[in-house]
Amino acid sequence: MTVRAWVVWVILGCALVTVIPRVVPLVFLSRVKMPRVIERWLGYVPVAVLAALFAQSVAMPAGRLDLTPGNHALLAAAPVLLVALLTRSLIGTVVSGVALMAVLRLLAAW
Amino acid sequence: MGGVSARYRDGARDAFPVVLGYTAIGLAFGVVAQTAGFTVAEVAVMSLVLYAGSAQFVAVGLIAAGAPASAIVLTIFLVNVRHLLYSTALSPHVRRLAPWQNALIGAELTDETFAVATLRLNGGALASAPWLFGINNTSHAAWLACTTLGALLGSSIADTRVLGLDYALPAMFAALLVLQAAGRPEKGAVLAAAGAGAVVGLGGALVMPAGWAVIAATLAAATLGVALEGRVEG
Repeated sequence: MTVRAWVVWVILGCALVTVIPRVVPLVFLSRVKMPRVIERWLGYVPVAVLAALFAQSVAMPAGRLDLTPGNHALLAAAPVLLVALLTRSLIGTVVSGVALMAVLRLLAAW
Repeated sequence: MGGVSARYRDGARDAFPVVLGYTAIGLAFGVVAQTAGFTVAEVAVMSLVLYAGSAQFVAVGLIAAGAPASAIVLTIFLVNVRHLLYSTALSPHVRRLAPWQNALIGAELTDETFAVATLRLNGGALASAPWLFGINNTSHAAWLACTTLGALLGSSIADTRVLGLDYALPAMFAALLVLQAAGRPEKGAVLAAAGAGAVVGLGGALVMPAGWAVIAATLAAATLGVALEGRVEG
């Protein structure tokens, strides 16, 4: 169980600059009464973030854009959204998505 | 509502999809880091104090490439600065909690825990501290355990992609997106915001780092949502 000291220092530096944007608004803005329009604006943040993360995760699974049929993540995107719409089940959708991906890969390998 | 421990358990249960997603990515990260020359202890330290999926991959790559410390720290800041938006969006829901509680909650804020938590916080609902700690601690523990295990097993591990487990997070994003949108009254504005978020998030990622594209997508989509609110519907 060895650690290189300089690696730990770099990790600590990274952790510090990560924790500041995570913590500062929660600690200070939670003390402030925000204008109604800002609260409404913030209400859209989860939907906006999820749409962006979902689009990135299925259209660029390896970090670069892949719109070919060989991109299984993209193939599974519409079925998974449909399962979510029909079942409204978080766990059900996650399990279906994982199973679908496994099947797609099996078919591709076969 | 139940007692403190019941709410903590509720949070731990709500974190289950995050745990599934972190299992695949965590194992993969451990293997990548071990292959790049990191020790098991270094991987554990990183997952304990940095605790950020994509940023840890970036950090390992930069450290292995011998980048200067200042460049690594600046890059990680830029990768993770999107958390400002999550922390800000969560802040109205924790206004009754003590500052030390909010600091601890913020320290374990990730894309995934933010998305899971806000699902239950529609409108001006107040979050309970034990519930948020349940979500956060469970997710963080899963990340720490799986990344460390990945580093221990190293390249001897079977490819987790075969099981499709790496699709747990995209599927979770899809489900949370649908559930979030369904829980809001202004359907037209929410759909437009989701569309804008997807387009800007994807288009932006082609010309800037993915984390920045999430910020650009959020700024554009939330502004569009508020602008359309009350206009699309009566």
